[in-house]
Amino acid sequence: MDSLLRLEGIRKEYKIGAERIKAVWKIDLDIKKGEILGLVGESGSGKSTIANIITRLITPDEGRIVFKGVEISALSERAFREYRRDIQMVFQDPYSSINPKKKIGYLLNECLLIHEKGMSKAERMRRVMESLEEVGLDASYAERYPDSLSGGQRQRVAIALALILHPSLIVLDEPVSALDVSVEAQILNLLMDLRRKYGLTYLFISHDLNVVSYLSDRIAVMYLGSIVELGRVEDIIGNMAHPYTRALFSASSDVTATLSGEIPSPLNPPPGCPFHTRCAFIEERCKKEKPELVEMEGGHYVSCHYPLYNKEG
Amino acid sequence: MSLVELKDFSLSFSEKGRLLEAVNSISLSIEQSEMVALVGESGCGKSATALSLIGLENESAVFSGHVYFEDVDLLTFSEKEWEKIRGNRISMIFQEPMTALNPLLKVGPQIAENLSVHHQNVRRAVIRDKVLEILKSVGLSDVERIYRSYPHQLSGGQRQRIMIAMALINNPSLLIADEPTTALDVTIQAEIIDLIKRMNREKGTAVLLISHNLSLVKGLTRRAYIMYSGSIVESGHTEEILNNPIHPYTRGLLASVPSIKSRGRRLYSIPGYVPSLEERSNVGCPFASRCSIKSEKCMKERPKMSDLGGHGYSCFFSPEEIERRMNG
Repeated sequence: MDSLLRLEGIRKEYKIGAERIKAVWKIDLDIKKGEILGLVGESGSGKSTIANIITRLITPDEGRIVFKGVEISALSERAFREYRRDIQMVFQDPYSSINPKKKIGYLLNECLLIHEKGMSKAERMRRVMESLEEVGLDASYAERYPDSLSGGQRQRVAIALALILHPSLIVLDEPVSALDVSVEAQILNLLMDLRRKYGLTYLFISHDLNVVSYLSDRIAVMYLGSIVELGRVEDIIGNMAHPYTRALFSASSDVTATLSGEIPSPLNPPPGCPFHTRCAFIEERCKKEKPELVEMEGGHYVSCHYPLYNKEG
Repeated sequence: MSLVELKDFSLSFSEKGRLLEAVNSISLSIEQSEMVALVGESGCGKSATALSLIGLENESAVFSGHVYFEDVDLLTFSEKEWEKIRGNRISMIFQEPMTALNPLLKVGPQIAENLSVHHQNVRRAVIRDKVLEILKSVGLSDVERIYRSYPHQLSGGQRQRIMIAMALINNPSLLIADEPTTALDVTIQAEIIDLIKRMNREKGTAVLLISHNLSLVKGLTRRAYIMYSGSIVESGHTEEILNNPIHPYTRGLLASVPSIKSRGRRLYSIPGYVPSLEERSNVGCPFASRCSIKSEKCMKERPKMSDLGGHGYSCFFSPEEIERRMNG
C-alpha cells in the first residue's frame, strides 16, 4: 500500500521553566492509504503529541512530515491551508471541542465558508445537510445547540465537522473514551461505515486495547515518547515481541498486575531502553543502550535488545 | 444479617416543583466481607445510590424505602449520626483522586485528619506512625517523602493509593469504590485492583464497586447488579451474569463490547440512548423504549424481578423466550 503520511525523525520537547519534557524522541511512522493505524500507549507516552504534530497544531523541533508526497512540515501556514482540509481531527471530549454558543448548522457552514470560498449558499446548505445525514443525525439538528445533545450525539457532530471537507486522513484522539459502552458501539460502527464508503484513512489513538484491536489494521505501541512495537494486528496479538506490549495487553484483558512501578517521568527519562526500569527481562545492555526500532519479519517492528519473539522461537 | 440491605429504595430529585426519579425501588444486599458490583452506564442511578449509602446525596433528594446498615436504617440518620459512620464504618473512594484530595494540604496531615476526627484522644506522634504504616500497607514506597508531599507532586496511581489509604485507615466494614480506576492507565489500574483485593482479604472490608467497566467487574467481584435507568434489571453471580446474561439490556451491553474476536464484523449496538431524568417514563419496563423484543405489555406494566436459582432478572419473557426472540 502507498504511504499517505510519513513522519521522519520527529522529535518534540516541551519546555517548562528550566526543565524539558521529552515528549517524542525521533519517531518514524508511515500511515498507509486506506488503513486504520491504531496508536496505543499510556498517559505521557506521546501519542497526543503525535496527533497534534500531524494536524500541525504544534510544530516539531526536528523531523519531516510528508503528506501525499509533499513535505508539509516545510510549508508556510498559508501554503499549508490547502492541506489542512485534507487532514482532520476528532477529539476525545465532544463537550469541550465544539463551540457551545453556535448552532450545529452554523458550525458546519463555517468550515465551508473558510475552505470552500467559491461555493454557493445553496450548495453549502446541501453539504451541511448531507454531512449531518452521513453521521446519522436528521436535518433538524442544524438548528440545535450543542448543549441540547447527549455525548454520543455531540461526537456525531464532531465527526460531521471533520467529514464535511471530504478529508483523506482523520486523526481520532480517543474518540470513544468519554462515551458509554452502548454509545461507543454506535460510534465505532459509524466510523467503520464512513471509512468503507469514502476510503478514509484513520489514525486512531486510544488507550483502550479492545477498541484498537477490534478496529485497526496495524497497531503502533508507544512508551515514553518512542514506538516500541509496530505491526499488523495479527502479528501484534499473535506474536507480541516487546515485553511492554505483552504487559499492556495482559493487564487489559484480565486486569492482573503485570508491571511493577510507574511510568518514569518524561522530565527525567531513564538512560538506555526507556522501558528497562519496569521490564521483567532486563539485562545489563538495556540500562546503557537504547534499542532501535528494527524489522523482525514482514512489517513487524520492535525496539528491544532481547525481543520475546526470539526467546520462544 | 447482611452488612447492607437496600429495600425498595427510591430516590428522586425535586427540580422546579417536579420530582425526577433517579432510582426506582431497588433492592440490593451486601454480606460481610463480600465484593459486589453495581454496573451501569451514565445516568443509570448507580452513583446516586452509592452517595446515599454514605449520606452525601444532594439536599434536594427525596428518599423512600430503607437502607439498612447492620440493621440500622441510614435514611433516618441526622447529620450528627452520619458523622460517626462516614469515613469510619463506611468509606468511599472516587474516580478522580485529584479532585477528591485537598490540593492545599500535604498528604500526611490530610490522612491524619481523617484519623483524628474519629480518635480524638490519640497523641500526634502515634497518629503520624499510624499514617506512615497505612501508606506502606497500600504499597507506597518512600513514605516519609510522600507524607510531606502535596497531591499534585504525586502520580495518578499514587494519589489513588492515598485515597484508598485514607478510606481504610479507620478499618471500615464497607468500602464504596466509584469507578476507582477509570482515570488511571491500564497497567496502574491492575495494581489498584490487586490492592483492593488484598485489603478485602486481609481486613475483611466489604466492597461495593460502582462501574461501567465489565472486565473490571469480572476481575474483582463475586456478585453483581445491573442497573438501567434507575432500576435493577439483572442480578446474580458475576461470572454467571457475564457468561449467561438473561435481560435484553445486559445481553446488548455485553454484545456491544468490541474485542479482537469481533474484528471485521459490525458491533451489536443497542438502538437509541439512555433517556435523561426528564424524559423518563415511570410506566412500563424502563428498557422498553430501546428493547428489540418488547411486546405491548412491556410499554404498560413494569416487570418484577424473577429468580432463577439466584440469578435475578426483570423481564416478562422467560430466558428461553428472550433467547429465541433475540436470535430468531
